[in-house]
Amino acid sequence: MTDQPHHDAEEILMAFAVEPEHDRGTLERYLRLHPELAEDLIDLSMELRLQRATADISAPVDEAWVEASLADFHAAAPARAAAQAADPFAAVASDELVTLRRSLNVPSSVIQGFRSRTVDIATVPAGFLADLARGLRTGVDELSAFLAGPPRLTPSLSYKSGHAPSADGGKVTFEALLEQCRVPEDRRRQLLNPRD
Amino acid sequence: MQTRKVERLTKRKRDGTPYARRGEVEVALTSLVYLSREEILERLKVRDPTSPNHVQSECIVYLIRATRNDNEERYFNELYRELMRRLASALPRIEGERAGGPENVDGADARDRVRDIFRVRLMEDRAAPGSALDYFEVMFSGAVAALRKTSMGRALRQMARRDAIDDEESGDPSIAVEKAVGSLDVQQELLSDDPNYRFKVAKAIRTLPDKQRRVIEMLLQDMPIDSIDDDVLTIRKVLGVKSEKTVRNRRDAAIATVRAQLGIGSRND
Repeated sequence: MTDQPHHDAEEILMAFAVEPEHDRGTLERYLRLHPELAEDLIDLSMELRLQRATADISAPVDEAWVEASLADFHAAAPARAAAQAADPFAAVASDELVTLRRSLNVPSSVIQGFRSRTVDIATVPAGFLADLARGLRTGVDELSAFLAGPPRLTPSLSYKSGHAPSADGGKVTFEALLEQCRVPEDRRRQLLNPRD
Repeated sequence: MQTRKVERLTKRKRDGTPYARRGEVEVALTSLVYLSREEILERLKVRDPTSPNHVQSECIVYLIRATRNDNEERYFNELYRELMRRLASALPRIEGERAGGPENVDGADARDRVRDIFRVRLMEDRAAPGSALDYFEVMFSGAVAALRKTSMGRALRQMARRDAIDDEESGDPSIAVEKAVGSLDVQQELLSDDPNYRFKVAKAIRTLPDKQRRVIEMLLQDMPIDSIDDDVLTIRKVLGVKSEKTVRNRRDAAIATVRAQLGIGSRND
């Protein structure tokens, strides 16, 4: 994990920054414990000193800078909420998934397309979605919330590194997914036009 | 009357003890949690930090984290805006940073970076309550400074190598530097009654090359430049330089620069 030392360094600098006193005793304690962070600790010690010295000097804040951040927060929040939505596949055993794909009469790769959120939910017929949700013992809303998130690697393909590759490209339509998974044309037509 | 409890922090120190908010923050929170949202929004408008109704930044962090499970957007937005203003105030001013130097190059970027990292941390905290923001409830401005340091550490380290400073191991300071040094009690200068002057002193210190500024900080902490006692942590040892002369050269160059920036002892005065 290449991020670990950086993470540790941040923890140490944060711990130093929130110490009640920033006197010689505190600085020396940190310098002795973390000599590899000496420069950062001294820089931070000085910055905290300058902060204290100028704390009472107010300056106008750039409101556009504030608003931009608020807009970013709201723009990212829905996507993030979807990414955080509960994974309905997590609680389903692999043999149950086999049963599910048989009952839906699709290859397992189609199920994988849903599990990895590769499929664009807007293109999936409601009936198929309801059947899938039922098979996963979840609600359509819950399944939809999960599928609205960005494509992800399925757990069996996950990487341990902090830089796991994301699923390639964007989402595919349900039709394209069926084609990629070599679903026979007759079955494809049934799935795409269930009322025909 | 219903009791409203202020949640404890969950972050633990390396020795396993939990972090705690400062006493005055706890006291303020204990009463803030009984206020209506409208009353809290009114309090946010109080900008004078000496007013008893001023809401401390640490409290705003607590309040915004507590909105995790509701969707009252106006209240959240106002807390968020005020928190960002506090964040901006805790960061060094861009115009106070060295022209053409690493901090100026990274000044605006660093401000944006800290703001964006904080936003992401807040989003993560709302999605799954964690302890990463606990530091900001202990000492908001300190945590912001630490976040700034870690966010720009690598960029600054790379730039710092380009710092050209006169600190040869054995060389004496140039006559010009020596003349300009004189005496300067930085500690006292930072305690000046005149806020504008203090701001100028802080600006002058921030614009020093990293190596010189570090010597000044350790001197301000009363650390000895050198010692024959191996157990004493000295500036020379911390910097890893062979000669105490190097430390003195950096100190003298730093003081000369600060004096020049403050207009002390300049021939053009």
